[in-house]
Amino acid sequence: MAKSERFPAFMRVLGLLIALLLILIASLRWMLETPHTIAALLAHTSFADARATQAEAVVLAHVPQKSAEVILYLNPDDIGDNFYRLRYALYPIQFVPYWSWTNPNQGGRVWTIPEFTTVQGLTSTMLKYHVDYVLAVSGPNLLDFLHRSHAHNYLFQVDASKLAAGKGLAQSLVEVDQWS
Amino acid sequence: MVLTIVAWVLFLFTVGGSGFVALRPFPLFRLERVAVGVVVGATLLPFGLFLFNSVTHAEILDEGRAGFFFSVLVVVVIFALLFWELFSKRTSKIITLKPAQPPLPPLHNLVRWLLLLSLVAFFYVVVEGVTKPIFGWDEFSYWLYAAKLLYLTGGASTALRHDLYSSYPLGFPYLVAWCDHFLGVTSISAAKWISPIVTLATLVALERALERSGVRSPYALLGCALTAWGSFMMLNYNWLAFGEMVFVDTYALAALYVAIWLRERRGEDLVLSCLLLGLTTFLRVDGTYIAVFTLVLLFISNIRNGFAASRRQWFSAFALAFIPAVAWYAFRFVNHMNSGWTKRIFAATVTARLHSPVLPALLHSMWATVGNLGQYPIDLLLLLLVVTWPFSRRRDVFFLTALSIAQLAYLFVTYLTVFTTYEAMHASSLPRYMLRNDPLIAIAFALLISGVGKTAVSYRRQAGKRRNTSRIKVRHKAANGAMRRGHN
Repeated sequence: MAKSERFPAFMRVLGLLIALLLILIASLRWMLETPHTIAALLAHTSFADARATQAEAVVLAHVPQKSAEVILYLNPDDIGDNFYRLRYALYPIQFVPYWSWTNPNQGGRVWTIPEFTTVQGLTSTMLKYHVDYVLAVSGPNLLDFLHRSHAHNYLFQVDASKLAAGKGLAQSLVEVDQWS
Repeated sequence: MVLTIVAWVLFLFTVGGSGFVALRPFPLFRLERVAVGVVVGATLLPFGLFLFNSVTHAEILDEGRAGFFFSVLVVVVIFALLFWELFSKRTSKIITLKPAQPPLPPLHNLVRWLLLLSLVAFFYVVVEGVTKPIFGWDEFSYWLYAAKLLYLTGGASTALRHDLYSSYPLGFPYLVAWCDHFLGVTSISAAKWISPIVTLATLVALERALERSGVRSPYALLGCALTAWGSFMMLNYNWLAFGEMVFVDTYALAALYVAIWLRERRGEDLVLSCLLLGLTTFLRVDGTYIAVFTLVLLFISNIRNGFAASRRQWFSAFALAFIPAVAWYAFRFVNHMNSGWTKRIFAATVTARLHSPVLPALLHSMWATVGNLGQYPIDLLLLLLVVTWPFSRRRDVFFLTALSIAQLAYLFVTYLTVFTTYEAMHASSLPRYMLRNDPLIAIAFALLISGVGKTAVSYRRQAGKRRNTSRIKVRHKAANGAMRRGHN
């Protein structure tokens, strides 16, 4: 301890006490809280996981596992978790990105941007990304244009030639599978 | 089960061993060298894999014969280097002596045990989180998705070329892919274990390094406990959104070694800190910006401290700080990977955000977001550091305090520029940015209240044996003045 350090000793003791108190409170709080946090997180994520695995099984049954296949995934209830989980699980299959730096997620309401909710937006998105399949989970707007029930989830195959010829969504999308 | 254990042993051996071998020129405690070796190896080995693949395009992580022979080669080379290192006594620079210090009073001993207990509790809670099947969307969105791509493409560094995140450095994904390569499968629950291991190594290195620079063990442990507990996020991020934890660990150690260098004036610590700082640029997309302002503060803190390292050490420090960043930017330039943070920023966006509706709302949301509550206690310590700085004019504490203020300023600049208005207003990114700031505050606080301490003259004497030019002598007039004033 150098003589010339002008730092009073009582400040050192005070600091030590404050730090110890902080550590004590923090460790006690977390020892008590963490099991509840984990339980809450597990309860919160279980539903979304089940829906994602269901969709994953359907895609695995119908879509070839190739990087050439592109899926447009539409799920208005999803804040992102399921999109990323599916993309991770189905890896060589490609997904249309719904997130970008130039047009980020619009405050969490990802699926309500025009690209995913209007006829024109959906058509141009499918053509732009050369989409082969559309996965419609938990009632996206697309089902209104196809006159389908929102109670079911669908997997559609895209006929790109019809879409490019301007035949409209109802004629260009062929239903592959339906589940609820 | 046995194969999994063998895979983990080999993975940890390659990570820790490569770092241990790379730390050969630095005189450190043995345990400190092992711990810093794990942290250094966790990025140095992935950086080596990245360079090797980018140059040769070899399928190094292939599950076939090529990948097998490559991993055998890596294990054998590291084993040979370790063997050579451990049995060549002449050049070994491991410190075995400790400076003679008076015994601790009984109260200090009690405090030491309490702090150790709190650290055990910390790792208990972390393990509780790691073993549960909870995954944040961070893993799927970039870190582990990138790791899976690297693994499935046999370690091709251009695997993410057409991805939205192509500008993100591949340090942590390569580490996870290397782990997957040994396990033979892509596993998120296995990847969750990596960050806690690196964090454990960081805390051990922190304790040992502080003791090496003359801080008594209760204060060194206080630094560790504050690092672990001071920010509540440290706990969550080790098992929920762990992609950034290796960056946090590496950066905290880099800042720590700069502080120790300012305290001890031994050039090897400068080189080691710059080695760690350089590696951080391969771990985060904005790692280079952070490294640059850290280096600027390093120079500012070193004014009138003499040069405190030989010319050769300054040169190697510079080289080590810049090589990973230069390699990464060259790779991006060659492969046209310019997405991500290279968004165009307009002056109008920034000036609009400085005015009435945005800035007050932003500051209010920072204050009012419940998730930010955990930041207030450690920020009180920062306030204490700022207030006490004029009374304790010390370079090490000044450097760390100024660095954490610079981190706050950097966060503010990102709010004004690259964040969207929504992200800025939501202010939930505050803890993520403060995650790397909180260890700096904790270390600075531990250094502040531990006092200047006994400088480790004995280490210098031991390290000086290999050359005749012992650096115990004061070489510069400025340094002489600094010593008389008690700065060092």
